[in-house]
Amino acid sequence: MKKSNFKLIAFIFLITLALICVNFTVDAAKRVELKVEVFDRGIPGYQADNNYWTKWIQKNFGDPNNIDVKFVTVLRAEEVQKLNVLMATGEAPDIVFVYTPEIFYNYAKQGGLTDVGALLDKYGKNLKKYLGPDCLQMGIYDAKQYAIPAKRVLIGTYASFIRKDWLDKLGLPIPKTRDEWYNALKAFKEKDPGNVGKDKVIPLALNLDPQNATWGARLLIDSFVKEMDFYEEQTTYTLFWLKPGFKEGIRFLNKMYNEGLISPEFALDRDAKMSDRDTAQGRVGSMMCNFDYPYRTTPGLVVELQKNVPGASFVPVDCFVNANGNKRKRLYTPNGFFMMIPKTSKRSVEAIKYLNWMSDPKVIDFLTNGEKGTNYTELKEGIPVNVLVEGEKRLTTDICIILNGKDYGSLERNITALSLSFVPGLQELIKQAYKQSIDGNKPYYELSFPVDSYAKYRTTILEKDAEIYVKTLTCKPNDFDSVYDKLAGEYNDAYGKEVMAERAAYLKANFKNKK
Amino acid sequence: MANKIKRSLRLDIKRGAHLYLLFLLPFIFFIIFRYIPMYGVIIAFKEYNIFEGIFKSPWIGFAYFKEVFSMSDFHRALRNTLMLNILDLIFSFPAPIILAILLNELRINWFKRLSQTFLYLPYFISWVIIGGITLQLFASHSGIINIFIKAIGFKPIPFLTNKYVWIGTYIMVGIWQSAGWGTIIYLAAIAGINPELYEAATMDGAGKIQQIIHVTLPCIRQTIVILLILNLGRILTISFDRPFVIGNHYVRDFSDVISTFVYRVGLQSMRFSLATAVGLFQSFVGMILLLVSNYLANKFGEQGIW
Repeated sequence: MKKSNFKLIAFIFLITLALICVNFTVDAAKRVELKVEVFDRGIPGYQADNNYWTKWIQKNFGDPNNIDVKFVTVLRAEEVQKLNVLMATGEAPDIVFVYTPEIFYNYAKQGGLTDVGALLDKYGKNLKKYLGPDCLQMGIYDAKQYAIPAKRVLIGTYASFIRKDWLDKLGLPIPKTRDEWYNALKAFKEKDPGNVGKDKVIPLALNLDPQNATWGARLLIDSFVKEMDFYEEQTTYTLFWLKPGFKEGIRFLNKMYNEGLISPEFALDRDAKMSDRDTAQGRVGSMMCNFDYPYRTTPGLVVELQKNVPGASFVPVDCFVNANGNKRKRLYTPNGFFMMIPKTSKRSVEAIKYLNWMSDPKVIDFLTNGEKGTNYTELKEGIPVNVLVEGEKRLTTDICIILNGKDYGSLERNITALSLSFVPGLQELIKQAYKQSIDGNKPYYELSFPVDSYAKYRTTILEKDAEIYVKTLTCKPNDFDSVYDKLAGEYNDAYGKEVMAERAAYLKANFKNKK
Repeated sequence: MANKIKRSLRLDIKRGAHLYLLFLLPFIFFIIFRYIPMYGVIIAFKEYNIFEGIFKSPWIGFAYFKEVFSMSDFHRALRNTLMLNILDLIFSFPAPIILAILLNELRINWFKRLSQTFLYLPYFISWVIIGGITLQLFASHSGIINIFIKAIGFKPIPFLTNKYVWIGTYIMVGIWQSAGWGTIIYLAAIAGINPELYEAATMDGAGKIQQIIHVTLPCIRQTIVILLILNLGRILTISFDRPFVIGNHYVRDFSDVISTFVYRVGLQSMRFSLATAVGLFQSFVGMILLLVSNYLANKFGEQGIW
């Protein structure tokens, strides 16, 4: 093109470029940007990083503080992989979070996180008060506050369930002891009260989650485990085969398996699809799981069961009592996921301010209950009844990250609120199930604390747990002792000894005066 | 001498510039995505810290190799990898050859085309789906095949729950998935056989089987040898999908292989240096095997890969 044209165009281009740069620098002097991670669950019609709630947050927190709050989406299903990549490239948002404590310890150990202790004292007083010391304790690594755990209000874990209609048909009462429960299951197998076919009846449904092998039988096994003091309990937690008494629990399961009282192909069922199907189609007599699992809308076990088998009822039963007459209930620690601020973040002050602002009860109310008139219109027993709204005003649990679930100030109200979020008709059962999950004079926690050898062996230990579980449950009763002792011995030599020694040392140094 | 070579290369490029240009693109692909990233393998000798990066992470030498070689689980995985790969070599390697020869003998063209399509299809099914199908078919109590076996009065066969029977299931599913696809290369080789050789054989009084043994097989011997060498070079590598999806905790003693081991111990625990150390070990052994088998092939009069 002609030389003069070219010069003109170049000139205009340079001016535009200059103006853009000036614009940016001028902006930078006024406002800062805070990037917060948010889960994207792929909900149609709802953009996790741009919706009614993000805009409300910008208006009520961002604007008054001169902060541009940007949300960075991470797909729920690949959150750990994505987080690893973001952290490794140094482009992670200013607030990130993860559920697995070992991942948090790894980031802290490799020097990738900001110590927020002093920041919390200065800018996060309300947040500190809201979360409480027990919750905050879980975010400490190497004596520094490297993570801020979210608050968890409902700490009940397991409940066990039984087909009440089958019990009624056989004239049996709701079991109050382990033996009564066992006899009821034997009767289910022999008499088949549901008429599903003697070879199809599954008195106890089990499956094998590769990351959590013994989950479906813990309530039962815990009634065999010896009662220990705090230190011994926390030294052996997750090292199942080395817990005193655990062997007897497995022996009981082995007996049940060989008598045909347990799902015959349980180890092929990695995702509980088979046992869910068996339960929903009415073949299962009893199971142990999260206290609300059978009542959840997905996978909808009880909902489907009531459709397939009219008159069926699956109720919570609290019958696992140990030799001392106590019920051992495992409880979740009072924390949700771990919120962290990467070392590379320049906005740690703004991040703490954001979380502190979020701990205001009015903010929590708005972000967890939604807008009055849209997300809820009526109150039932003082709890807002959630109305499903599609589109950008849809309410999810992903925005209020300092709280896991919903919080109404008291345990009673929280249980009521939980029950109201289920299908009508199940409210009383949910309340019953939750009460059972925390009822017991000897509850126990599984604390997690950073222990290098456990972090190293963790995935191998989980894998070994599944292998040993399968082998010890399916072997012949006569071989049980030799099989169990051999496998537990190898387990102890390879990982158990090392992990227990390291844990004992850590507990002694950091947890004084515990019983 | 060097001048002569240089001149012929230049001449070659001048004559077939467009061919070299066509070759340039995949060549650049390999340089950028296969050769340049190789530098990352040094993290096998480092304590890789994702925040420090590859170059700033500290050196620890052979520590991870020592750790891995002392794990009994690793030796189990190594043994299983070799066992399953050797069995694959014995049973799955000949399958596409036999299938190709059989396909070649089909005279009805539409039937030949149809069978080929059906034979190729399993190769494209994702292993996750194949895993689901395997479960539906072979489960001991709820699997369709065992329900049928029970119905006619026999005891169910533990396809997936007995570790020895499981090996058979693993091999059979592998053959089903890959044999059809493998016939492509052999059919191409068979298509290149001079038909006059068959005529000569017929004139000498050779029957069908004898023709196959004395004409077809020797002519595709070259192809077979090359593929055999390549497979031997890969004897320590095993795909992740197949054992992961078909395996389960009943048969873990046989189904845990190097790939699933690395996934569990290395990647899931975020111990990337350890995972890389194992990968480097596999590649190193594989390279040795490749060189040895190529040398042996050349020694025995066949033409190796180079």
